[in-house]
Amino acid sequence: MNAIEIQHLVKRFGTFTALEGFDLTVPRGSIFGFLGPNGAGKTTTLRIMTGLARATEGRVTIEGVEVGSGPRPPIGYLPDTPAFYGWMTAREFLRYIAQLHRLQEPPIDATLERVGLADVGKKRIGGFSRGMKQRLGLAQALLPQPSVLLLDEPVSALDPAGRKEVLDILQGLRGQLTVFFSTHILSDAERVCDMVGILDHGKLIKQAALNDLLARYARPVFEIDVAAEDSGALATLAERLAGMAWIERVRLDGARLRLSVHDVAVARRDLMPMLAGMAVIRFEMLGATLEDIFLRLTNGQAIQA
Amino acid sequence: MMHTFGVQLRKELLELWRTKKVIVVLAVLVGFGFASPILAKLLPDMLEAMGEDQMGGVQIVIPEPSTKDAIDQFEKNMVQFGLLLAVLMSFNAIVSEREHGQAALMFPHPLPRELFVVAKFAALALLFGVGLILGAAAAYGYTVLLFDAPDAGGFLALVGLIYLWILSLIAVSLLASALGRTVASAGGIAFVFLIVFLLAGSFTNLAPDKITAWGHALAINADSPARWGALAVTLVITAAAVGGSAMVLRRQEIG
Repeated sequence: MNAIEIQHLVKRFGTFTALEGFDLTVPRGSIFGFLGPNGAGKTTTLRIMTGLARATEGRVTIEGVEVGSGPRPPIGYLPDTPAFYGWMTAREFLRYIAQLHRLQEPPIDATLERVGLADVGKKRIGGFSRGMKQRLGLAQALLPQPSVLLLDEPVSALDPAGRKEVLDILQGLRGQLTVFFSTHILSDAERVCDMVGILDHGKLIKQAALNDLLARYARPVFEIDVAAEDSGALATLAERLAGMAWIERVRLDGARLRLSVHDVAVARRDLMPMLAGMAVIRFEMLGATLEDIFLRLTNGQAIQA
Repeated sequence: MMHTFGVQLRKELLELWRTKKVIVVLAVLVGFGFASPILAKLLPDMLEAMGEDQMGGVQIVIPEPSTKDAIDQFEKNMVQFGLLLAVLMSFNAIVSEREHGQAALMFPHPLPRELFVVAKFAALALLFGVGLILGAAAAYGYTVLLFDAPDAGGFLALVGLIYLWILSLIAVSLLASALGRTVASAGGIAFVFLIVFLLAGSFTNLAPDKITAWGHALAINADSPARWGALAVTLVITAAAVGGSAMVLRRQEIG
């Protein structure tokens, strides 16, 4: 049974087509990563899924309820930059949400505890940092115990520790409800998702189980770090490597060289001698990452923060 | 539906309280309620105190102030400051939540957009109702103390008609708030509505501001034609503007 079904979703703003008519299904209980560069149409899709915007064509069904048809689907939603009433306290805001949902005994304390805001529940939201607001946003989405949680870039505003905590919360929800979240941070998606969909210029270019995708697109990748003083020599080497047949792609980032290769055996044999004379700090063969797959599928278009 | 309306109305009232709007509205309306009869009483003395020198040798004869002057002051102050407060408190009520993002957070919850608008109108109507009642009570009390007691029925009619005039201003300002894409544009639309509202009084006796003049005539027992048509137009404008705000917001895409 699918928790979310999207059929031929099209959204036009005047002459600009933001979503070009894609289908997507999300199995119940899965954690689905909705990936794409900025401007791909992720937020537009989420706004349509929540009823904040209307589709030009197509339809979205969540837990059997068609969005925009009248009844409200059982969703919790966190926008990318949640805005609150600054004059309310966190606890007051959650109580207000609970009253709108007619919750008899809302688990306000437990929810605040869950998102790490237990000790600031009585403080005005106006004084919260962006990260705290993001957590409160997650709390208000979770409080009504929805069947489907829709999150728009839920961790992009958080520091590394905050990101880890929120991702841990999402992982803890596995099997309890369906989580659909958009992100441009591919490592986060790789860490928690069962399934991913990749959106580019309003088109869904891939939807698959993460493991299947990694297995299918796995290409060996070598990563080489050298001492900073050898970054010039590494750049020269990168130029040489770019023309070789067994190299698929070369990416140089200062003193780090990342190579995707067609022929592992040749790479293993030939790469090390080429590094002679450089102070090599790390030489590692990596498996393919979601980022590699993403870049290949989107023709090398980089994801911007 | 009623449960959700109650929750939303509580939220709106709490917001008016926490953001100090309650204090501003009550201070102005009650303040001018107190001040109106006092000003009427003291105005001749104040002019006299200015002396003939400051008046350029012109001698002004001012008749002994009366209950009518107190009511004139009250009506003028409540209409002018009521108008100003009603527009300022309402024109950004919807657009700011849409512009700042609270609407995108709230509307996926079970909060119908119509109730969102109606609760805002109801909260402001309550606030201005309380303010006007307190202001009117203060004005009535001081008028009785300083002059003769005004006709209670006529005075009540004046207060009621000023209230309906203020409600119509709140409603059209909310409509401007729903129509505007930004707080600034909503302010501009509210300003245009206000100009049309006020200019209409120069062309037709059906304009909403005619009801305050009617109320004034009732309060001072003056001969003046009843403005039932203006009253009906005011009520229709109020209902249409609130309904229109809800409809506009319902059709809008948020985010």
